[in-house]
Amino acid sequence: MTPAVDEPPPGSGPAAGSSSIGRLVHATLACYPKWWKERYGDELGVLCSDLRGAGHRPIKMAAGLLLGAVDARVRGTGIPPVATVHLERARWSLVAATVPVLCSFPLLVWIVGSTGTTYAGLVRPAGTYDVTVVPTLGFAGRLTQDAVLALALLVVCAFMALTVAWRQVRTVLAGRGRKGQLLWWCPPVLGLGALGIAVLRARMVPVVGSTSGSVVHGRTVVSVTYLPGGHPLLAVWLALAVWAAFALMLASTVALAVAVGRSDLSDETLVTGVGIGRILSAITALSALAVVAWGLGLGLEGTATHASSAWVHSSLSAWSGVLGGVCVVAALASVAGVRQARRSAAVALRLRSPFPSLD
Amino acid sequence: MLVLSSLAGGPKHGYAVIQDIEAFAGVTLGPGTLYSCVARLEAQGLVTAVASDDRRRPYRLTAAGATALRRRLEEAQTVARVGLTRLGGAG
Repeated sequence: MTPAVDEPPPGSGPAAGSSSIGRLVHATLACYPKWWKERYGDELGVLCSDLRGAGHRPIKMAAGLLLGAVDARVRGTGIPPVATVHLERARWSLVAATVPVLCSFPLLVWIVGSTGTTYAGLVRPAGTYDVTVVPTLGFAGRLTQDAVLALALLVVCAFMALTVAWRQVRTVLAGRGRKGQLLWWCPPVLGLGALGIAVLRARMVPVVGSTSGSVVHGRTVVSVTYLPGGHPLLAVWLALAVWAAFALMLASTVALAVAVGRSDLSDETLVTGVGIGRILSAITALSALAVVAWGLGLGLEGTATHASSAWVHSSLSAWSGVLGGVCVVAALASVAGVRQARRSAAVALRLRSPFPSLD
Repeated sequence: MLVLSSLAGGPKHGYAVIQDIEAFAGVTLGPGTLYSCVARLEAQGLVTAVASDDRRRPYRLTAAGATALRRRLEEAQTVARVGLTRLGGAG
């Protein structure tokens, strides 16, 4: 029976390509998940084309579509009961759980670096300012400091890995599992170690300072630059360590997301992968918090070493807000992503196997 | 409730639903809002797609959708009646 459809639309035609609906609307349509586009994409494209022909504003349509795409990705309403679709959803959830935190990390480092190490171009009233320079440690002192930090981080990493993955480790030790499972833990653990050492090393390394001053419009512009003490290559080492850790953790996340999305994974590997994702997201969130703490610590240090430096307070409070905001958003995305990944993986397991368990 | 009320008048595709709702409720739904709603209602079994050769796929109310709509409208009617009575009493 042919349905009685009210009021045929005066749309601009059946074609729903980017030319008929506009690039902006087309781009927002692409934001919907694949399973959603397969079910509703075609008719939604035609509807957008019709509405545009009727004079609806593309920007308003695009805004609504963007919210709809977020809703479809977050709630997953109407997602078909197919294991591969839920695996795909788990993959993207892991990406959402880790990539925002990872991507916020260089931003945090940059912000902290710009506030903590260089006070250039800030205007303060004319006067005399004292800068306290912390004496540098010798080579042996720095080596000892690094060794202590590395040892402490190793203990923390081992504890985290063994606590969360004790079942996998026990299975392997009992000879029932594959040794390859343990390799899954290497990238995040190594990443955390390198990142932690870099952050703590940079936080604790003694600094030397240099000052310069000039008068602009009756005010003195003071520039204070902190450099890591000791060998000049230390700064390069720090930068390389931080970026290497970031690249390592990003690569781990991508590899994990790709692996979890594969349909030929065994249930055991899938459970392990989601577990690793949870740890990775926790590590990245903690790293971001550490960087924030580092930045706030530098701010306090800067206040303490400068006389009459009220501008440091105002400057740092603004940066602290930015840091806190970025960190909170990334952490929320991480929590939501991990929860969704866990749920999607559980559904995928239930669809594939009559005896699923992620516990 | 707007989409269910629109489909209560017979099967409609997206554009017709938007126009219908605009006519009887004065609300202009966007395509993203409409299809989020349609997906949710379809997942709940309240509406279903009608087979069509056209790319503009019509949707119709299911029996469960009609029941749910009737219940919600009756609830709204009760609230409206009480509110109007009290307003009348106050005036």
